[in-house]
Amino acid sequence: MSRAVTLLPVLLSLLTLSVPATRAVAAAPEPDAPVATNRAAQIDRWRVHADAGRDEQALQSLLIYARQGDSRAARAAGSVLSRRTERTVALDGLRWLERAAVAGDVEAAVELGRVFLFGRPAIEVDLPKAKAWFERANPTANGIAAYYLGVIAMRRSDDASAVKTALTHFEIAANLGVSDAMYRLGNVYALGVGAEPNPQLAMRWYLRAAASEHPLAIQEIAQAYARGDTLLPQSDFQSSVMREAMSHALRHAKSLP
Amino acid sequence: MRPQHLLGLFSALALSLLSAGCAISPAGSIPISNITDGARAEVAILETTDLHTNIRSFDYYKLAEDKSIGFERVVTLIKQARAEFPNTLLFDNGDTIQGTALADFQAQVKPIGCDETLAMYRVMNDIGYDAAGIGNHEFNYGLSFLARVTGQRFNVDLKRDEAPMPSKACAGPKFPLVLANVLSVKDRKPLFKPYVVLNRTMKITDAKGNAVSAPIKIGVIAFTPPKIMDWDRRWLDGVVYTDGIKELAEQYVPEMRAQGADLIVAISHGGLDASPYLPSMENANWHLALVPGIDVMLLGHSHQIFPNAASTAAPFNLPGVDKVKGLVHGVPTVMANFWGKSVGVVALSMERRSGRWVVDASKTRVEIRSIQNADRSFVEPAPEVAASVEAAHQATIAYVKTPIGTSDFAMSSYFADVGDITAIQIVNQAQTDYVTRYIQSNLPQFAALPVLGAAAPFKTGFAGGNDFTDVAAGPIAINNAADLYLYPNTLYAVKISGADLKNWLEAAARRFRQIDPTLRTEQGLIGTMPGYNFDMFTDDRLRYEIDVTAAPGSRIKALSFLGTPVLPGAEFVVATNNYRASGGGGFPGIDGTKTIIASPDTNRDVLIEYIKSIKNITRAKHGATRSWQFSKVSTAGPITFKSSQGKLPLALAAGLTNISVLQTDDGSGKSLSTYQIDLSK
Repeated sequence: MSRAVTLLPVLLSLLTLSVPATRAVAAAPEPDAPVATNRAAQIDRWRVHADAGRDEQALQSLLIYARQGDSRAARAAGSVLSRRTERTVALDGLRWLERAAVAGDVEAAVELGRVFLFGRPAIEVDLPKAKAWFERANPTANGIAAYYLGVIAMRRSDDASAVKTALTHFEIAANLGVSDAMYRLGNVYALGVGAEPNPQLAMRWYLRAAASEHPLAIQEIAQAYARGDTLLPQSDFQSSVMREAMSHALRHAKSLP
Repeated sequence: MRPQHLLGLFSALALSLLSAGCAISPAGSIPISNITDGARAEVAILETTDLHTNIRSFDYYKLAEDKSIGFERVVTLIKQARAEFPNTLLFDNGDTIQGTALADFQAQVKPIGCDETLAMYRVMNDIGYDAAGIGNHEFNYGLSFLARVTGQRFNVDLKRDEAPMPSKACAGPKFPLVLANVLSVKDRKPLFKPYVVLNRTMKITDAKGNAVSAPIKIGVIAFTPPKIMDWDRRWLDGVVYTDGIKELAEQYVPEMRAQGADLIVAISHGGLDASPYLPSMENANWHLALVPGIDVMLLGHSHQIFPNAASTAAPFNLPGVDKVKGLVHGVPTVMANFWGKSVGVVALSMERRSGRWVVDASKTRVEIRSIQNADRSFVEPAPEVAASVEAAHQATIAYVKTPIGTSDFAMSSYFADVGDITAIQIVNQAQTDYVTRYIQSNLPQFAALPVLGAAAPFKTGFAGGNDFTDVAAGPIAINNAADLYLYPNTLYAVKISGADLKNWLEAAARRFRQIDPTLRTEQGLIGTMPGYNFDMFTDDRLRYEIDVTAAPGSRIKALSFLGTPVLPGAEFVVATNNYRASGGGGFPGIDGTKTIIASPDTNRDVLIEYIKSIKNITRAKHGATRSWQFSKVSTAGPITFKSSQGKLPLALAAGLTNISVLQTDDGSGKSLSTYQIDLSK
C-alpha cells in the first residue's frame, strides 16, 4: 500500500489522549430545514450569483432584503460590493457590512475584520479597525475571530503579554475547530515562542490540523518523517506519502477561515 | 452501454445461462412493457473516481512501476464485476484528466489535436462507461482545453490567457459527460448537460420467476464542488459561476422522473458535511441525499473510501450516515478511493412495486473493491489498457527524460549552510522571474516595488551523507527538478516591509548556534532548526551579514539594498512558497495576511519553465550570487559542521575557501565528515 491521503486516518490514531477535546463535527441541522435555513441558503445563492455570476438582479434581490432589515442579506451584499474596484461602490459595501454588524450579525463583524486585515482592491489595510471588528465578533465563541485576533497579537512576538494573548486566542480557535489555529499552536510548541518547547505536543497539534487537510501541517509531518521525530520515526517512504498528501491538499486549498 | 448483448436471439432459459458477465445492454433488445409487480432485478452500479490519469501502474517521476495504482488494474475489477452481476452500469465521478506527467504532456507539452481523444478517455471508451461527472481538476487546464477534450463548445467569454474555443466540436469521450452546477455568465446556462436519461435493457426475474429482459431508464445528474471558483479562479472568475447543488437536484430530479427515469444516480464530486446547507458549500452531499428521488450517490474528491466501518473521519460519522452499510440518510452511497486503487460497487436489489421500480434498501450492498488482494499482492492489469496508451506512455517517459537545459556546474546543498548557493539561486531566479512577470501583467499597483526571491535548502544531511540535493553538471531533465525542489509547494508572493525583511532573516539565522569566539574547544555551528527554514536571498542588490556570535534575534548586520541600509518602512515583494507565506516556520510577521500572489503553480513547475526558457545554466549567472556572508570573527577553537564525505572540492568550486576537513569520517556511520569553517576569512 502506498500513497497519500489514506494515511491520514492512521496518523489520526496517533492523536491519543493529550490533545484537548474539541468539537470534531459540526452540529447537524434537523433534516426538515427550517425557514431560516432556507432563507440563508437563498441569500447565499444570490451572493454567489451576484459575485462570481456578475448577476445584477441577484444583487438587487440582496439589497431589497437588506433594506428590509435582513442582516444576512446586508452582509452578503456588503461582501460582494466591498470587493468591487470602484471605491464608492466598495465603501457602500462597507456600510452594508457595518449595518449588519451593528444589528448583531457576528459574521458581518468577522467579514469587516477580514476586509481591514487583508484589504480589498479599493479598501486599504487598517489593522486597528480589523482588530476592533474581530473583537466585536464574540471571539470567545467565534473561532475565526479568535484566530485572527491571535494572528494580530502575534505580530508583536517580542512582547510576552501579546504572545500570551495570541496563545489564548489560538487555543480558543483550535478548540472551535479552526485548523489554522491548530497549526499555529503547533508552531508555538515547536519553536517555543510563547510557551516552553514541546515537540510532542507540537506534533500532535500538527497532526490534528493535518486531519483537516491543512497543507502546512501535512508538510510539517512530511518533514518530520524525513528527519525523524519523537512521534514519527524517520521514514523516506512515509515522507514521500505525506508529500503526495500535501500536494493533494494544496490543490483543494481551504480558504482562510 | 456495450452492444454485445443480442438478447432477442435467445430464449429466457438461454438468457439465464448467459446472464453472468453482462453489462446492461442498450435499449433495443426485447422490451417487456408490461412488467407486473413482484418482478425483481439486480443492478450493480460501478464507480471509479479521482483517477487523475493514472492509467498505467507507473510513477513518471521515479520512472518506475507502482502496482498500487492504475486504471489498468481497475479494468480487471470492472470485468470481474461484469461477470458477477447480471446488470451493471459504470460511471466515473471526475478528476479524471489531470494528475500525472502523462496528463500534463497531453495538455501542455504536446496538446492533443481536435480529432484526437485523450489517452484517459480512450481507455475509458474501450471498457465502456455509461456516463461520467466532472471534477474540480477538470478545470485545471482552462475552459478551452476542457471543451476541446470533452467534445464541447462552451458559450463563454474566455479569459484572455486562454486559447480560443474550438471552432467545431472536437473528439471527446464516447460516453456522456454530465454537470449541472456550473453555468456560463454569458448565457446563464449549464456548460454541460445537467443530466441525461439513459435507456437500457436489463435482465430481470419476472413475478413468475422467469428470466426476461426489460427496459429501464436511468437518470444521471452530476455536480462539482463550488470551490472551483477559488481553486481555478484564473480561468473561471467572471466566466462561469456555480449554483446550489441541492436546489438543482430539487429541480432536475423531478424532470428526470417525468422523462421516465426508473432509477436516479447522483454523481457528486465531493464528500459529506452536515453544516447548515449553503449553495456555496464544498461538500453538500449529506444534504443532497435528503432530496427526494435520489436512489444512489456516487461520491469522490476527498480520496477516501466509503463505506468503511473502521473510518474515524468525521464526515463518515455524522448522524444519518451508515459507514458500515454505505448509506447516507438511507441512500446507497459509495466513494471509491483514488488513482485507480479501487472500484466502488453498489449492488442494488430492485423490485417492481405499483408499476415502478423501487430499490429494496434492505437487500442492497455497497462495497469497495481494491486492486490489492488480501495477501497484499495486486490484481493483474488488463493488458489491452497498456497497449492502447503505449504511444502516449512512451512519449511521456521520453519527455520526462528529455533535457530541458544544461548546467555548467553541479547544483548541490552540501555546503548551503555555509554559503554555497548553487542549489538555491536558480530557484530564487525562477520565482522572481515568475512574480515579476505576474505583477507586470496583473498587479500594476506593485510594479514599482523590488521583487526578491527567498528559498531554503530542503535537504541538509539530517539523514546522512546522501540526504543532500545533488544535481550533477550537464543536462537537466524534468525529473531533476524534483531534486532541486523536493516539496510540491505552490508559489506565493508577499508584500513586506523592511522591518519584516530583517525579521525574516533573523528567523532564518536561528539555524545557527551562538558561537563564543573565546572558547578553545570545538563548537558546532548548526543548531536544531531544520535546514528547510534557512531561507536565503541570492540577489546582488541585497546584502547582509549573519553574526553567529550574537544572540538569536540580533544577528543580521549591514542589511542593505542597492548599497543603502534597508529602513523599517521600506517595501519589498518577496517570491517564496505557500509554506513560508502562510506562516510555515513561524517567521514573525509572515502570517498569511501579506500574500499578494497565491499561484496554483508549483515552485517546481515554475523552476522547470524557467530552466526551459534560459536553457543554459551557468555558474556566473545562476550559481555565484550570494547576498549574505558570515560576519568575520576570529575564534579560539574550531567551528565545525557536518556534510557528506569527499565533497570539499564542491565547496572550493563555490568559492568557499575557508572550509577544510577536520574528520574524514565523523563516526556517526552516516557517511558524514566533520568540516571546519574559518569565520575570520
